[in-house]
Amino acid sequence: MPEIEFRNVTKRFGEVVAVKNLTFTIYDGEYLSLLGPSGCGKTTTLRMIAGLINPTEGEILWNGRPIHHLHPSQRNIGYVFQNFAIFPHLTVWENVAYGPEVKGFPEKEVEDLVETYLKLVGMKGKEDEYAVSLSAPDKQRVGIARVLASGAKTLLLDEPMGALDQQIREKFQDELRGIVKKLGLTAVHVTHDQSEAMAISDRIGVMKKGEILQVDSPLNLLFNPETIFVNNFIGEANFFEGIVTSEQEGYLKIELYSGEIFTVTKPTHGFLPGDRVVIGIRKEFPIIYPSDGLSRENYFSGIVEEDRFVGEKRRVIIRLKYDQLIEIKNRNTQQSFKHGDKVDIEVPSLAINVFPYPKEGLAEAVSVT
Amino acid sequence: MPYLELKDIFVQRKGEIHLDHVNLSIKKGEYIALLGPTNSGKTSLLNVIAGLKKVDSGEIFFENKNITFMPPEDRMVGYVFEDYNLFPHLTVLENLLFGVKVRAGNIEQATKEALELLRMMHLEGREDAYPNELSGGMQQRVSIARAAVAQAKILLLDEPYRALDAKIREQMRREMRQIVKALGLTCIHATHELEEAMIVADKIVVMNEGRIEQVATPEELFNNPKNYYVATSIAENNEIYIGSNKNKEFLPGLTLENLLEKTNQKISVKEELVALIRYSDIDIMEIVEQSMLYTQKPDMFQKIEQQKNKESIILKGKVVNTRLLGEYVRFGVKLTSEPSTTLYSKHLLNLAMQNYKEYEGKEVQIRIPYSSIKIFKK
Repeated sequence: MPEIEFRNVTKRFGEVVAVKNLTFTIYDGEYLSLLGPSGCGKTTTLRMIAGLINPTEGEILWNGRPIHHLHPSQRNIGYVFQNFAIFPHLTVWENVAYGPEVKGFPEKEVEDLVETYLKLVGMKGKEDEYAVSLSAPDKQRVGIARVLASGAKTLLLDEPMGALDQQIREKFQDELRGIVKKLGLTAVHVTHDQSEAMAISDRIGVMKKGEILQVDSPLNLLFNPETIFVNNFIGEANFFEGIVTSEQEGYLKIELYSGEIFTVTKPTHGFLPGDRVVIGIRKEFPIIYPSDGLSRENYFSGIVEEDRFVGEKRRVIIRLKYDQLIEIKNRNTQQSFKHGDKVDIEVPSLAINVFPYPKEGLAEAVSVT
Repeated sequence: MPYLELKDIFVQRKGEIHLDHVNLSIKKGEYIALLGPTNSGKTSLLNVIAGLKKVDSGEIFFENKNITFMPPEDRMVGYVFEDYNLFPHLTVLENLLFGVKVRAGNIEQATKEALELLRMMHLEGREDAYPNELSGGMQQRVSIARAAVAQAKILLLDEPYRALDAKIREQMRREMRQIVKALGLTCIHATHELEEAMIVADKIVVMNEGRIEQVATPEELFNNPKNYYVATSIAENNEIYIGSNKNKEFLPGLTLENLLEKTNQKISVKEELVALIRYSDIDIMEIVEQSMLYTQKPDMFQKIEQQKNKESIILKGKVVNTRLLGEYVRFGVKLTSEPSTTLYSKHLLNLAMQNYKEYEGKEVQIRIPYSSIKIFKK
């Protein structure tokens, strides 16, 4: 049963549209992340789920019922913040016991709850330490135990790793996902960190300027982006304009404006011969070879402009016909090219994503601002 | 002839060493990145060059002139801070001309230059805008243009992108290098991010606890890290303990003795040694073979692979975990034979990796080029 459903939700603050016509569902037991550049509306979305703010238009359904029928306390929501909403002057134990005690649970039950959740987050043995003296990851562990002990069934997490060091993040991501899955909770996690979203989520909702562009598994966002923005935001891509020259059961042949012919074997739908399209090619996928002077389908020919070593990969920029540029991330760091080298660039037919030419223009479709 | 030269610079405050006998020489027109974590001495070094921090000992030469005690305002240094430091009440053009006005320089000439710079930096038509009407990236370009108009001889950048969104940062890095090169500026850019340093700089200065660990081009740095600190701070490594026994197998079938023979190296084994192998240097053979499915030039591909096989050790193992990390996928492979270490292999995404999870639990072969196994004392 769908747990939280957004139906045409818009939120305005005065003149500013923070969130525009959101329609998507967060399923029961799902770990969903909202990912996007700052100002894209992800935190506003989270705050609406919590009931901290209300939509201007549209509605949010909670197990099929409009959410405003439920008092925030009936929603069983736990909010976890970047800066750890815990009481610094209370001990770890007191922090976690706070919720159940306020609710008037019997002493024994409070004890059981606190013990269970402290064990779950790996804080057993630190019950008597003061929250203020804990390390950042431990503070966040207490924060999570605290909202769980208050009976939260849905966790809303706003950049919960924001204050943690890079080294500890990966371990913490695994812990957090483990807890959510073990308890069968639903989690909505706001982040701007792509690796984090990919490691922790079942699905990711990519947002831009208040709209949700695609809600999908990490792999699908990488390999099957539905928009130009997603293709370039999750990683990086090159884009070229062209025309569909033939279509057969969803397989397309595309001629670029610069003359190269590409066959796309990834199934598409809705494209017809004559359509103006943009093809997107992720920068990791093309393969570079020294030129043999022949021209083939699914190849570009060009002249190396720059081949720069950037650590675990090389970034090769190649000038194509009509001064178009393509940038490739080459994993083969032993393979280096000189400025002026003639090369062939193979683009595997499964590596090509096809999009209708965007009404707003290509630059605007790619732009994050 | 060095343009800027730092000789044996030592700075301490309250018993804490900020710069520990730093020597560095920079050529005219070079783009230098200072790479290191917080408190490694990057900002101190910039401040010493700008004259904002006094040295306890050592000397600074600029175009062969000793400037150790020259006041900051005479040094012709353009300093771009994290927050760009533009005057909020002045327009873009007024900000650019501020330095010239203070120095009572030729305003007419400077205005012409300023407008030309704005055009170069894609800020044409924004000369009358106020800083708060511009994006972070634009403000930064204005801040660099200001340094150029003021005829700064050295541009100092301290973590210039920290305040920007990841995606915009990527664009800015490349733009920055182009702008600096187009203006012919000499630039020193402090950052804690490896990829940023690699993208912008001609040379990278690796800093640690107030010391310089290594100065090298990005490529040299990667191919020949000088010590354990540099090697582990520029990449993720598998670390394998060797100790001081040349004849013990640290990988199945491979001793230090064998390795040194294969790679034509000589190392005297007096101390305890470790081997470092970068995650990104280890191939999983099945995945490499799979990527062949996509190429129309299989012969060329095969040739490259055969060559690699010859120069590598190939080991059996089992994939014990996988993880998607943005544009990389990481595999943990537990070796079948003793010593059955778990080695990590990190691959840039390719089409064969849509099924990366299916490798979990599978028996695979991994390939490690001998040349990628680096030996250090820890």
